[in-house]
Amino acid sequence: MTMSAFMTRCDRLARLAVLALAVLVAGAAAARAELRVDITRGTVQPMPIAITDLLGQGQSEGQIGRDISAVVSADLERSGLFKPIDKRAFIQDLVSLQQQPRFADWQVLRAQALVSGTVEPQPDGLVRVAFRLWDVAAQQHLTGFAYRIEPKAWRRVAHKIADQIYERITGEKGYFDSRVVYIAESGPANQRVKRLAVMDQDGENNQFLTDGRSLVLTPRYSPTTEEITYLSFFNNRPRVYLFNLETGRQEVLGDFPGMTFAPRFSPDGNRVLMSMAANGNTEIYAMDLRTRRTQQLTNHPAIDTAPSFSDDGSRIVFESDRGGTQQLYVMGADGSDVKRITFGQGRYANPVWSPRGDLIAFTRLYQGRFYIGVIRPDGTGERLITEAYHVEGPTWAPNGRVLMYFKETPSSDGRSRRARLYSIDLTGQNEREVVTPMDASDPAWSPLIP
Amino acid sequence: MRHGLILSAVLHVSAVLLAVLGVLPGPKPLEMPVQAIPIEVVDIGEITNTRIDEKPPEPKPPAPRPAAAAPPPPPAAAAPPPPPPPPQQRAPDPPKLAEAPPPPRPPEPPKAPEPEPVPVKAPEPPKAPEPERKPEPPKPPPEPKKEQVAQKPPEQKQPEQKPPEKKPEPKPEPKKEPPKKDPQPDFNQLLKDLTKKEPQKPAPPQPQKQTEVAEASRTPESSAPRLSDRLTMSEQDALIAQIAQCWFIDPGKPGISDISVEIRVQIGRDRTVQRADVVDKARFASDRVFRSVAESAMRALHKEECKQLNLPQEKFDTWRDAVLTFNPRDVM
Repeated sequence: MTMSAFMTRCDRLARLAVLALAVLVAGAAAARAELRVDITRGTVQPMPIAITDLLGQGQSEGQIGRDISAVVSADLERSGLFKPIDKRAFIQDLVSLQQQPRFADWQVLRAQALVSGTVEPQPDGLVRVAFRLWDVAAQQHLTGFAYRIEPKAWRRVAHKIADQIYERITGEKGYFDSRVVYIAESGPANQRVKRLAVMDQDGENNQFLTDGRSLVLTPRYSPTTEEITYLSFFNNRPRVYLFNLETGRQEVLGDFPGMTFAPRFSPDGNRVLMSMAANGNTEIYAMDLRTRRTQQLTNHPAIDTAPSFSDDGSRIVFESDRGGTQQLYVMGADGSDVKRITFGQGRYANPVWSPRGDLIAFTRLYQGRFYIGVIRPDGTGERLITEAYHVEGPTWAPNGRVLMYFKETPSSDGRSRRARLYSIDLTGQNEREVVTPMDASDPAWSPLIP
Repeated sequence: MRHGLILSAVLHVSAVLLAVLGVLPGPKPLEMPVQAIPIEVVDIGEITNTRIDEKPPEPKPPAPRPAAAAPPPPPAAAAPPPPPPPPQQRAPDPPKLAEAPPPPRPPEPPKAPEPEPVPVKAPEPPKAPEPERKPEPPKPPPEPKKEQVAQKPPEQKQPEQKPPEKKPEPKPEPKKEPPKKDPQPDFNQLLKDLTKKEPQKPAPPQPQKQTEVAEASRTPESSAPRLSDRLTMSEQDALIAQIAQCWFIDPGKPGISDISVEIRVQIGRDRTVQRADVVDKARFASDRVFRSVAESAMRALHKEECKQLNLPQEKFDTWRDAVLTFNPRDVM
């Protein structure tokens, strides 16, 4: 035997070992197998959120707490992404809530998030407003902040709290602590008085900036929120002006031979784009606000106007009829590399680049109807999200999520028109009127107030 | 005596030696020429493919009772008397009840660890000696300074740690059943477009097909066990439909179509999610939008309507560990 038998045995043993190993490997693989499922659908519904009154220590603090809660609730509800739960359904009382939420009580109400907070007086006359956001399902504290404010500043703090909640839940910056400048209109159609006005984004704190003696149009906020540029027909000479909101001082931007209009700030606030019409032609110019030097960006016999910088300031979108019809074009910030991005029927106007950078909003006129639409900067994905007898002048919320514009509806006898501001989610859902004291047009949304 | 002992020892030693060296007649090794038995080591992939070919692939026929139903059909037919079920997605349920020994279906209230009036200790109100950044009183546009409110980690843990055996919830918990009324809005309609004409631009690549292909290629490889142990397409569809109902999506979120969140879940025999973890923790910590999508997915798994998942009890080993990928890109 011996050697050959010995070898045979070894051989068998080796084969057995290989087989055993293979079985082990296969077994392990099978044991590790896990179910994999792709969830590619979902539900589009606002998230139920419980927003309690902020617990105040005294009577006035209690009122502030209730007021703040109401504004936070209204802000979030208006976004279309949240659905505040009726406070009358709440089970847990405010005092015990400050100790610790009883999550079961909130789960019963199907709340997914919970907001609680306090308002406490401070020795220096200020109040300390604190809030907390809770994830009810995970029973976790998500975020919380406190502010020391003058009692009269409660509304602003409410917007800030709403921004914090919005950001923590959605992952996007909020837009509630922002303002809107617009043209307030009054009087009959043939004697329309137009004034500059500003208000909070929810329509509160309305203020008029001009007295209505000169026609004003197309106001735009600076990125610092300290200045507004707009078109005024002061002394019947249409010029682009700069209005300082802190000092109230106004100044003409440049002394051009022709009419200047359609101004808009660059994202860094150092430049203003505008159009100038001279000798029967309209071109786009950029003015450096520090040096007051201007640069001509377009040079074409067609009308080029309504420029708007991209979010990073590297490109500009504008409207032009150089292709035969009024369409949208994109070019570099220095006027180079012009590309047409719209090819649809009708006319495209008032392009505005989103602060998010992903979309350009515009007005489109087609077959006698006006539309507000959005399109990607490369010209794809055009969507028309609202339409009316007359809708125009879209402006983006600071987070690029919501659009505001004005809509005119004729009266039943056709003799007058009612102009109002509306907001709409960029998905095209959740269109809502922004209540103003009188007719309103040409809204321009500010960045978040610093 | 001594000689005998020595002799015995020598004989034993020699016998052992002979046995080891194979001299003694014994279990004879094969004398015939060794015949090699061909053994082929085949990789798992081939085996899987072979099996799938043998049996008709169940995804094709959307029939309610796929492949595995060999033994149980007779009882199934016997038990439910009139089974002409028109519902398409309901289909998977009846077979389950029929063939599997009815597991304690609604065995226990899905959730025991309901945090409750735990003896709230240490109130610790939000106030704290937090470092107020600047108590600077706001100017005309009041400038409220923000300060982070201290978290309360210890407290929030409490309810979870205590296994509250009492559940003195006087409220009618099952107040109302999930309002299934909402007809699952078609995602393509979520992004409103008033354009009546067909798209004039070159349409972007079809994401739907890609996903289908990806899904098709993924499913077989991940489910190595026998075909009968895998979830059928209709069973998977039931699960997807259930979770989709609980998952709130925000279609306007930037880049949402590119976000894909994998959540690894462990599911108990009672079909409730015992544990869920986001796989990509690094991105969860750094990307706010990703985190919000992941959190919405986690919330979906905690929702009342999704606490007990639509899964066939008898295939527990198949679904006890699962990876759920939340990703709305193909419908955007």
